[in-house]
Formats: sequence, structure tokens, C-alpha cells
Amino acid sequence: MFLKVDNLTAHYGRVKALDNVSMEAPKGSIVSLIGANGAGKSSFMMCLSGVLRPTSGTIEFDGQRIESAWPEQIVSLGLSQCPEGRRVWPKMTVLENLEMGAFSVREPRVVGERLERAFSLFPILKERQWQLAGSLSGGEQQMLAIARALMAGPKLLMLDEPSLGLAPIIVEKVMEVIKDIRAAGTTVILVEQNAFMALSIADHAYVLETGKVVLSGKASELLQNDDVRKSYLGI
Amino acid sequence: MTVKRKPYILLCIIAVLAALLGIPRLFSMDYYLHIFVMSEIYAVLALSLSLLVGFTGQVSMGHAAFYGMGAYASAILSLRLGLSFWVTFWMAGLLVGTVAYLIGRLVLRLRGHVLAITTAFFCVLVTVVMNNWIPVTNGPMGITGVPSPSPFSLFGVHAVIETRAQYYYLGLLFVACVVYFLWRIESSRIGDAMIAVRENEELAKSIGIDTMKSKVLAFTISGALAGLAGAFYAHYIHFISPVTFTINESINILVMVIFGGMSTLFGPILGAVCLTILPEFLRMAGELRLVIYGIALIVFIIWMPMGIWGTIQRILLPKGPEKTQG
Ligand SMILES: Nc1ncnc2c1ncn2[C@@H]1O[C@H](COP(=O)(O)OP(=O)(O)O)[C@@H](O)[C@H]1O
Ligand SMILES: [Mg+2]
Repeated sequence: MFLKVDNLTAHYGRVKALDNVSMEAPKGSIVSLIGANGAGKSSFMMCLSGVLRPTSGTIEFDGQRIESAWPEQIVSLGLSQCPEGRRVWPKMTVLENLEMGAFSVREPRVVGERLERAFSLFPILKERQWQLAGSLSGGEQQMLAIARALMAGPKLLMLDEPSLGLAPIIVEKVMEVIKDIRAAGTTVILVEQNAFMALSIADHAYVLETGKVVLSGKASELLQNDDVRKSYLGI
Repeated sequence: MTVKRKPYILLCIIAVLAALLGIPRLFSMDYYLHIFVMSEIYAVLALSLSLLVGFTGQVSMGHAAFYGMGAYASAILSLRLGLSFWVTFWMAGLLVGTVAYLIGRLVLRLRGHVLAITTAFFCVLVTVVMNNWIPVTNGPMGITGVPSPSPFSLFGVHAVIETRAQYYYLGLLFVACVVYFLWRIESSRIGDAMIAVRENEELAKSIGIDTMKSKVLAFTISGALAGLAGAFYAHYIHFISPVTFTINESINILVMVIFGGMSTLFGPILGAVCLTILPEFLRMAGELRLVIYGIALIVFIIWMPMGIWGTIQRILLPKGPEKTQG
């Protein structure tokens, strides 16, 4: 398995944020993690990227155990994330943000190639490359955040609530982009409160409640599941 | 745009350089020259602090402690061991850099005002040690007779550093080296990482930057350079005592950085020079001096939040950085 997480438990002090979470993601898939605010979705991502140390459990990525690796090692192994909240460096230009995303890459030629690719994926960023990132609209900032995460050349991209605060039409654009990224061979883990969006583009999905996985399966099946429809889709 | 501006910038640099080299001829009075030498020392202090505060975004109120430690280290080493300034200067930098590294590892977990207060305590603690560790520091009496740099020969030229003008030129070289050193750091990957930490530490972490390492490095370099400035000061004034290196001095240096404009190299120099010269001008105002000084600072900080240099840049470059929101 490309990504395999077993019995992951994590705490903030005495608060348990994750409770025996197990999940897996095959190569080239889109896997969604859905759940209400405070369910532990962001904590899960932080564990994968090495920013939050799990209390117990294992994470295997592309044949390597990474649960006790440093964030910079994890990035260079090919796991890149787009955290929630303030997603860009507001006082840097768009171009500087993108270059910063390739911080772990030392060959300028590779950075140049990735920049080309980012600009072809997001033409708007090419137009705005000299503008300060803080002056972009919310949707553009989200595009920039995704493009920046791609600059590290990840094999696995993790996105934390990319649809948060965006107009529906922009959310659709973000979904298109995510599909393009997967089509180019990158595995995607998508963390969302917007269950409809997450389930409609994912292959597999996990439902998280207060740090526990309560439901999992094919995304298309979860879309039909009565509990999911009631609790997360409001149908 | 940048190509067109180049000859004009080059001309400015030549003019400024000529003015700087000519200062001892224009202001030959020792009183003026002393103010210029002190401006140089403050320029190094403000520049070194700006790497930490302006560039990496970590507020420290402990800068005077490193400044003082450098002064004491160099003075004691040269008096007790009879070593030349040219040796003790570097030893002071190394020593203070090591202390700064250890303190940095300890305190940089903290952020914002908690970090500021903790470093302020550190500064007070160092002053207490200077006052009470009498066998080594001679306590409140201070240390007298710190020697001038020994005469030296370089490329067949024999030189001494004794007059104010000679100290002025040595100081100029010191400032130039510090500017070059900081410029190299700030335009490297290390500098990129520091800016990323200042602008959004969580995001910096998420792209694999070891943010603690960046902060500790900035703290160490900043402290080491302040130590060097201290060594220079001790061998220039020939006398040091704890009152020079109190928390007031930390605040003074911090104000210079904020006043000049923090995240450039020119801003802190401008801040240091202005705020060294301004109080001297205000001597004429007698008792009211400190009041006027205080009001001037408040007005400047309210009207020019980016510092003097930031404001000049905005006026000179009409298409300056756009306003950011959020
Ligand atoms: N930095 C933190 N310190 C303490 N508790 C936290 C912190 N971040 C999150 N938590 C707690 O951990 C739990 C999971 O939070 P989080 O992973 O952010 O959930 P989600 O991303 O699903 O909204 C919540 O109970 C939250 O209050
Ligand atoms: Mg979250």
C-alpha cells in the first residue's frame, strides 16, 4: 500500500485528538477524510507531515516508516501539504511564494520546470506572479497554496479544507484542479467539511467523529449511505 | 525599470562613500567624531538586532546583554591574558555567539510578548552578574584601562588605532563588513527561511523548514555581532561598567531598528545614526530633552510604521508594494 496508517493516536497535552485511526490510500487515488469541525482532520494531517508527533501508531509511506521522521525529511520523501487557515505568505509575491514551496529542492533547473508546470495548471498565477500574495482573492490564494504545495514535487499531496470560504463556482474550479493533479499521477488526500464536494471526487473516504473513524468505504457508496446523507449532506 | 535605475544608484553609492570617508576632515572636532564612532557602534547593534527582529520576526529585549558580554569578554581577556584586541575581538564574538546559541535554544520556543519579556529578564540578569561578580567584573566600579588595539602592519603599511579619526575608519570597515555579511545571509536560502518564519511560521514548518533552527541561527548571529560591537566599544572607550549595558540600552537599540525600518539593511543604519545624533542636538533644549525625544519617537512611529527608510522607499518608488489585507 502506498500510504498505510495503523492505529494512529495523538494528543494535545491531555486532549486526545486522534483515537486509533487506521486508513490507507492506494497510489494514484483520491482519498477523502470528512468530519465536522473538531473531529481531528487537521490533526491527522499534521501527524502525516511530522508537525504533530503521534502518541502511538504507525505511518508507512511508499515503503518507509515516517511516524517519527522530521517534517523536512517527510517533505523530501515526497509528501507535501497545504495546511488550513492562512495558506500563503501574504507579503511575498506570488512568484516568491511558489519558489518558497520548492525550498527542499536544490536544483534550479527542477524549480524552473515545476514553475512552468504550476503556471500551465494555473494561468492566473502567471499573470499575477509579481503581485503580493495577500492582495489575491480568496480563490486565487487557494490556487496559489495548491500550486505552492506542488512545487515540492510531491508523490502525495494533502489538502486541508481547500473549499473553505470559497464561492461554489470557485469550489468547482478547485475540484477540477484536484482531478488534474491526480491525472498527472499524484495521490491526493483531501480533508473536508464539505462532504458533498469531497465524496464526489474521491475514490475512497473515511468519516471521522471525535478522533475516531466511524465509517469508511467507497466514496460513491458513502454518498448513498443514509447516515452520511443525514449527518453530512443534510439530505 | 531596475536597469534604468542602476547608474543613478551607483552614483549615489559613490557620493555616500566619499562623504563617509571625508567626515573626519569635515568634522575634525573630537566631540563630533565621537558621535560618529558611536553611530557606527549603534549601526552594528541595530543591524544585528534587525536580523532577528525585522528579518525573522522574533522580538528580543536582551540585545544589550550580548553587547555587554562582548565588551566584558574582550576587556577581561586583554587585561588578564595580555592578548591583543585583534585576538580578543574575535574571541568575544565567538564566546557571545555560543552564549546566544544556548539562550536561543532555551527561549525561542516562546513567542511574541512572552519572548520579549523573557529576553528582558535575561538582560537584567546579566546586569546583575556584572554588578556582583566582583572578582571578575570589578562590579559597579567597572573596568578601566582597556587598551587600544595594538599597532599592526598590513601590506607594508604600519598603522595604529589611537585617534578618534582612526577609530572612525576602523568602525566604518566594521559596519561595511557587517552589512556585507548580513546581505549575504539575507539573500541566501537561510534568509528565505527566516522570512518564511516571520511571515507565517506554521506554513514554514509545513513546507519542511526547521523553523526552530532558523530562529536559533538568527539569534546566534545577532548575538555574536552584538558581542563584536561590545568588544569594539570597550577598546574605544577604554572603560566599561554595568550601567552602559542595561535594559534601557536594549530598548534604545530596538527603537533604532523600528525607527529606521526593520526589514532592510539600510533602515537600521539610518535609525542608529539619527537616534545617536538627535539626542545630542536636543542637548540645547536642556531639561526638556527627553520629553522632546519621546514625543518625536511616538510621532515617528505613528506616522511612519515602516520606519524612515520604508517611508523614503515608498515615496521614491511610486509603484511600491500594494496594500495587503488579512
Ligand atoms: N493546537 C491545539 N492545542 C490543543 N488542542 C487542539 C489544538 N488543535 C486542535 N486541538 C483539538 O483537537 C481536536 C481536533 O482538532 P482538529 O484536528 O483541528 O479538528 P478538525 O480539523 O477536524 O476541525 C479538537 O478537539 C481541538 O480542540
Ligand atoms: Mg481543521
